[in-house]
Amino acid sequence: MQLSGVHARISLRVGDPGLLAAFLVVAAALVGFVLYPTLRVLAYPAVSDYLAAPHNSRWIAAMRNSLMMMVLSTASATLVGFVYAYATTRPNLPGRTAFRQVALLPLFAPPFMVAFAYILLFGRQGLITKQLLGLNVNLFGWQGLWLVQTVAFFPYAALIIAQVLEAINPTLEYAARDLGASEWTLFRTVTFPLARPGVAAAMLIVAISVLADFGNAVVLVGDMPLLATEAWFRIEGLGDLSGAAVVVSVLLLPTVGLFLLERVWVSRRLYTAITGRGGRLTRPPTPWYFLTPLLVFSIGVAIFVLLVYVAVLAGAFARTWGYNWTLTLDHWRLALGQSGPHLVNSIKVGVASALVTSSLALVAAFVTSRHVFRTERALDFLAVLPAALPGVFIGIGFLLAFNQPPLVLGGTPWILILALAFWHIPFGYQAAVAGMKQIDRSIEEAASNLGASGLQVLRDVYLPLLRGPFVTSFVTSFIRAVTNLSIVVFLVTPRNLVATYAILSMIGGGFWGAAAALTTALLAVTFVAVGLARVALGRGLRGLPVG
Amino acid sequence: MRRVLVVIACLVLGAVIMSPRVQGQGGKVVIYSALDAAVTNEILKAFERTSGLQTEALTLAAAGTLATRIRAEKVRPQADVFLGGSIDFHAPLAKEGLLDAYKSPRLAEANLAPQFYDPNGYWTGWYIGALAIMYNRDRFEREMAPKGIKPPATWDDLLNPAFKGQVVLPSPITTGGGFIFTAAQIFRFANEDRAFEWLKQLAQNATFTPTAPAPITLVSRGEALVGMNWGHDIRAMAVNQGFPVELVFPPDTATEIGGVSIIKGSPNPDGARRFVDFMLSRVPQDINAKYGLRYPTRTDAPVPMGMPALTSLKFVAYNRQWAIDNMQRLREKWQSVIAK
Amino acid sequence: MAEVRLVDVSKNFGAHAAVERVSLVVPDGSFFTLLGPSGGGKTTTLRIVAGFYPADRGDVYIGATRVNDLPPYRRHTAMVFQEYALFPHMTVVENVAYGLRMRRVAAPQIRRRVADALALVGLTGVDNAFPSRLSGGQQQRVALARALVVEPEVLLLDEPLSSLDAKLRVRVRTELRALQRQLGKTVLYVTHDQEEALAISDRIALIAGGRIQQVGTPVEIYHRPANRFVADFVGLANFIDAEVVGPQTVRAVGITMQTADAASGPNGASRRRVIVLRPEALHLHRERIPGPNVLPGHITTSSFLGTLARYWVDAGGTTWVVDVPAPGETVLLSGDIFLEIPRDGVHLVQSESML
Repeated sequence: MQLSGVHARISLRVGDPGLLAAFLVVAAALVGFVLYPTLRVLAYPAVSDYLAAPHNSRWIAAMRNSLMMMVLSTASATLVGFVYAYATTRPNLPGRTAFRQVALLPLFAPPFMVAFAYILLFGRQGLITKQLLGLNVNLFGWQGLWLVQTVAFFPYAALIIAQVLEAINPTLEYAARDLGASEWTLFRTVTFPLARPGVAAAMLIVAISVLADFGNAVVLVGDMPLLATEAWFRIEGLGDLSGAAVVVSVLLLPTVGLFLLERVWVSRRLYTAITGRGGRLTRPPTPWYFLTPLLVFSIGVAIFVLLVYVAVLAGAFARTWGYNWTLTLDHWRLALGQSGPHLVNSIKVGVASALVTSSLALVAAFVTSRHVFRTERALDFLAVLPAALPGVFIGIGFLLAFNQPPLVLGGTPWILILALAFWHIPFGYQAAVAGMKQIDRSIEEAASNLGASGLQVLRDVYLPLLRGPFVTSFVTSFIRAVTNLSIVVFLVTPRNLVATYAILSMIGGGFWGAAAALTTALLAVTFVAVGLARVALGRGLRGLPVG
Repeated sequence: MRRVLVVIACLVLGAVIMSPRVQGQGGKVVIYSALDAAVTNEILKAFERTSGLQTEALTLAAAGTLATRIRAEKVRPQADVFLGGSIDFHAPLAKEGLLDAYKSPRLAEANLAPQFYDPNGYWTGWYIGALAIMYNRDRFEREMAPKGIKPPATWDDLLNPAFKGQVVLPSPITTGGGFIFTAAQIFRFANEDRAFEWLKQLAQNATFTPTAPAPITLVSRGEALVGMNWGHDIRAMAVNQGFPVELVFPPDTATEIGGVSIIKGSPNPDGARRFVDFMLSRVPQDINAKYGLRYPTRTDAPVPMGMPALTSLKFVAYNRQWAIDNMQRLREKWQSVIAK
Repeated sequence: MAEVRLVDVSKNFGAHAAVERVSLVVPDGSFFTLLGPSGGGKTTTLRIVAGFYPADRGDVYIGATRVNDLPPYRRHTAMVFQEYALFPHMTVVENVAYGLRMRRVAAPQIRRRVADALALVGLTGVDNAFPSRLSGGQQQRVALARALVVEPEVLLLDEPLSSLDAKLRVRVRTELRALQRQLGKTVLYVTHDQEEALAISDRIALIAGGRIQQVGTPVEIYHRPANRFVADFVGLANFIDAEVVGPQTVRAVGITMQTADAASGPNGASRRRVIVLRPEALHLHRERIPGPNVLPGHITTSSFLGTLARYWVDAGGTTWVVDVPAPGETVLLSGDIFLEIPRDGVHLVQSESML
């Protein structure tokens, strides 16, 4: 009579058709839109192309340079991110919230513009370096890229590390001080060791982003080969889709390696650090001799970040950016006249892809947390895999996979929407999984005990309680969809042009003023949309402890 | 359960509805254009007026990317016409069987010189660009003139050690212009090895940018002193914008031929053919001359304003077919011999 | 209303045997407590009945139905969780109504039954409040109402009082017991607090190390513990090594005592036993009284506990705990003392600790 294990699982499966259906939908979506395009890219080049790769000296150099930049930029970005996060989690730092907001700005940066703004400010004829400081600085080359990548990616580090620092129980800090620890000793022996998993996680995320960085590299490193840019060059210069596919596949190696490292080694530790519940003591105030350098540092970083946007704004209104500063609205006329509809398209694509991402991520997180179907690990992997794939890879993959039967999406906006949606699934998925872990299991058990089946539990317990992660994932996905270029360039269709494409087009034609104007318009629209989303979706948070 | 099924049904329905329309829906012509937006829009407007057909365009001043899209869309081409970009991009597509041959009836009337169209009918050349040297006039006056150094006027001037680290050119590997420049040197020396020696020396003096317009931007703003690029682009993007840039066509310069071709298996082949017919008329060539400052291939079309007459320029003996055939090999040679 | 039967139920987590061959019967309408130390298996057993863990071996019956393969939402049990597990995004009324919604009860019915349930647990005026606004005691009542309103066959309570402060705990447990009697529900109750278990249970099952140590009424558990562990866990006990000297006779600390338990074991078995003496069974005298069961001793520590005075006495080579009831306002004893040990009705257990 007793078959236990297997028997119980089968009856659970049959007994909960809703959960089974959800599982099938999620599995089909992930296999169809993550695994299938990936395989198409990997299968496109001939085996001989792959074998030739190690003999291609340029690609070896590219791998070497990419790894070098990865080490350099990850180290500096994580360091800056850590200090910044530490500063903004000190309760008595003036302007904390403002600094937090500023740190989010680099996430809004469309490619090219940021690097170009830096050249304008800090290049040989730069406004700051030459006009202000009289220096002769050559920003091109790996040094310039290092600087720009540090500023571009430190927010990822800052966000993750801030989260971990906040989760450290303030009681520990009180206890340490009570036992006689000075500020520095407290940091060294308590705060930093507890934050280590967060630092490790941040480093890995930043490293992956640096490896895949395309927009900044293209502008700043003239001829230094890098894996991320090689793919685009293969395509642009040589029309060599096969070679590009080989390069992005090679790029997969370090990225997937880092990514597995993060999942296996760090993620586990990280969760145990963040299971604390809120509503505890506030942190003790930081003494002035610690706080003042932190404040100065934060101000410095914030200025660096803001300067870029100021420069772009200036470029939108100056007749000739960097040369002729008379104000004009011509660029705006040109930009909005040509690309007004493109902005609207960007929003549409952004909203659609963000919705798909966030919804699917929630359901996927729910399904994989049931531990009912033995394929959880596989689904989990597929849901997070896109984080390791550069945009170029996804763009090519979708182009190869969906321009022919069985599922033809080419020519429709959906190919772009879905490519962006699935590229961002990891963020939404991770946020939902972490959010679920924060919800005490007993609440779900109570619902189940009272008669709720699998899907009903999802609807009644998780959906309302996961509004926070849903909004975060929606906002992040939206921003990244709207500012994306590497996927857009492959999948956009004449009828569905988006703003980043138009910006690229303008830059290619040398219309920097119009590009700056359109970029500013895009950023403004993004900010507004993000604000609206926060308000609209956040309204359902009644009764819940916020945050 | 019911809800999930409804959702799935909606998704499937949506995907079906959103599927691309069937072929031949009312004469829309889809164009991938490697020219800038201004020129493209004017040309398309003119075409719509004369033909009565609707157009849709994907405009990206990156011919290689467009060519790659055409390759990737091989099974189900989305576009009808590949417009602009040097024929160095069109010819390989023809070789791979991705283009449709078409001998336009307008060809005779256009009276193009034979090097401007493919004898098999795969592509047609409708504009010409010539490579030129540029330099930042302000910086030159400030920094070089006092030393008695004269502005560059020939290719060899680019090797002047006084310009070390201040010269920018588009990369031969990733840009058409860069490649044509490299090939031109080979034809100039009539000896590949000597040309590569010269190029090695140039590489000591110069940086190579991955994108084509970048050198113009850099020289315009004084980030670099001397550069090389398409004459029409230098004029349109720098000189006419008010930047202190001078442009000089060296003797032994080389040209690109801008092409138009029909994509094989496209949704609207008929419309595509009419478009090619249109491109052979004077209208687009005049537009390109006016807005893009590019030279027309038709001999009866006027010279772009501010540009010297094509006949006044001296060209190196450029064997285009050889250059196209050896492009892959030469680029790889560049990579291994000269690039870091 | 139904009885609950577990037959030879086992559950492992990896290599750890959380529940091992547990069999018990919870009679219909009774208040049955699973008592034991943390990690002993009582909560696991409860959750097996609820359906959150499938049993690896054995059968679980609720009423006449074998429920092993039924998921939690198909069993007619309702659970009150240790942390209450109220839905934070729903009001009190919505929380209580949830189970009825799942059973597709009509809206007017829901309103009525929810109101009745809240009145039953004595909660008024908080209908539209969110759980975060309620006190611990109020939240607990909501959790109880939520479980009661669905009229389950079995009510499961997982240490529901552990988050309350001491005085409230006593009051609420009494109310719980009264409510159960009034409604006649079958209740399976889990706690580690032995005083609580003794106070409100019809029957207690002591579970430790994943196994049942003893099942019985509170009186049986207290006065006739099955083994040393039970004796030690429930109440205080003095353990004295003894030797069997006759069919109903044992000898310890030089005194011969009579026992009602069967003193002799199987032939060849050890004659060593342990006597369990409760502190209140011992008496203290200032002066020596005649009798072979009096030992001279010395008080080492004393405590005043209100209703009794507790003394630690060194005598006969061991330390004894002795309770003296109703000490009134007299000064506590100290110094040399005489300890009177009962001679009849002593209780024996095996020398080993647990079953």
